[in-house]
Parts: sequence; C-alpha cells; structure tokens
Amino acid sequence: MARKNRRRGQKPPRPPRLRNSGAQRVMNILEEPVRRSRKISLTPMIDVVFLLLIFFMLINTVGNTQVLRFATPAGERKSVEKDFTLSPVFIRSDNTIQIDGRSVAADALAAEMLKLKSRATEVTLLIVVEPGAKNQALIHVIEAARSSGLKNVAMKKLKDAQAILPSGSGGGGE
Amino acid sequence: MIDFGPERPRREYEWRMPLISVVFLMLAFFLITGKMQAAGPVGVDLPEGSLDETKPAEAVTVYVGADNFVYLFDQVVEAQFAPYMLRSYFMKEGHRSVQIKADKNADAETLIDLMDQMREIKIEEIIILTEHAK
Repeated sequence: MARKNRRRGQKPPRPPRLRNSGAQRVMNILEEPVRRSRKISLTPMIDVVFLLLIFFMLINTVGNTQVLRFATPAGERKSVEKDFTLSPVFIRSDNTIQIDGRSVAADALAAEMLKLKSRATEVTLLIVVEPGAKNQALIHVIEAARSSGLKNVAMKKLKDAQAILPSGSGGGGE
Repeated sequence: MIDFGPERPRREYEWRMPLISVVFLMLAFFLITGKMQAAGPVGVDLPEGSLDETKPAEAVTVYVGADNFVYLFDQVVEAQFAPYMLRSYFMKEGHRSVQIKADKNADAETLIDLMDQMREIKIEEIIILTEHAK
C-alpha cells in the first residue's frame, strides 16, 4: 500500500495519535508553563505560630523567682559566743514570731529588728526555730534581718540553742 | 466634611492579618522575656519574699519538698540522711555555691540542718530561692 502511494506521489498516512497515552500526558505536563498560585495560604503558618506560642508559654517560667544569698563561715564550726549581745527571735511551732516574749507580725519585723540593732554595737541575731515551724516564717525573719542591716545572723533549732540562750529569753516555749 | 468615598471591599484574608500580628507579638514577647529552666525533681511551692539579690552565675540546686525529703538530681533522701548524700557529691565535685529550693511548708528545722551540713562540707555560699510576694 505504502509503495503504491509513493509511486503515485502521495504522502504516507500518519499513525493514529494516542491522546490519552501516558507518554503523551507527560509531554503535555512538560510543555505546559509552570503555574504559580497567586495566593499563599496563611493557615499553616498561623497553625505553626500558634503552636510555637503555646510551647513558649508553657515552657517558660515567669521571672518572679528571687534569691537570698548567704556567705557561710565554711568549715568552721563556729558556735555563738556568749559575750556577744545575743538577740533571740523565736519561731514557734504555730509559726508565730516572737521577740522579747511578744508576738510580732511579719510586716513589723524589720522595725523590731532595728530596735534590737540599736541596743548594742555588735548584735548577733539568733533565730531559734521550734519543731514544726515552717520555712515561710524563717524566710520572713531572715529578710527582716537583712533589710534592717543586721550582719551577724545565726540559726538554731530550739534544742541546740537552749545552751546558749540568755536566761529568761523565752527559750522554754510560751 | 471630608468625603472619603466608598469603602474599599476587603479581600478574603484581610481580617486575619491583625490576629497574626498579635500572635507574632505575643510570640516575640514570650521569646524575649521567658527563661528556659529545667524542671526540678519535685514540685516546690516557694516561700514569698520581698528581697532580691544578684543571682549567681551557676549553682547546684538542692530541693526540699513539703514532705521534708531532700532531692539532689535524681537522688532522694530523708532530711536526716542528707549529709551523706551531700557530702559524697559536693566533696567529689568541689562546688562552692549551692542554691536551696525549699517548699514554704517544709520544716524550718530541715532547712537549718541542711545549711549546717553545707557549712561543714565547706560550701561558701548558700542561696535560698523565694518567690516575689503577690
């Protein structure tokens, strides 16, 4: 047939075009210009930002921690000398703070300690803690001592302090 | 009176922009102000305080729970056995500064014992952590 057509000067017929064949589809894709979407979806970005926000909110500690620093007479087992002007402050089992046998509120402690400080040139504050007294009360006393400018502060448990307490200072518990 | 003309029609995504701006601002705020801190071995309710002194660069943290147990990294002991744990650790590591994170409901006696023990093992500085009073 093809020979016959060539002899007659006619072109051979084209093979049928396979429009839906795989190769054709690949060719179509390659030939098409790259389409860029004009709108960028913000939703995934918002999701990520929200996740980051929640992460940082949960993981971060709000900066409300404070510090109280103490220098210790490291290594020296220094007992409180009896010649010092000892001013005992008692923290009772029920967390009341007593100075000179009087209960003192936490906010009035600093003023009371200033009075103690004015009694002598070298005052050593002795914080005596009864069993059952809590840390919060101890911190109140330490802070009051610090803010009133008392430099020598000793802390003792009641049973350890009884030997050095001046008589009639209230060490027996009231 | 100034005539501004008809309001321009808003595009679909425009209502979201202020929200994204606020969220970004919040994110920046938390990134800047926040401080990363490793979670401690025990939840501690710090006592309230009013004084704040300069923080040390680095210090080992010892925790005292409300139950008076003493925590140092993954070790937990009763307060009376704390000296052995502290001695073995601090003598080996040679730290000179320790911070105590004690619960406000922990016994004051436990804290005093702990500070006495630290003095004995030549700790030169003790830092007690408190929380800003509300």
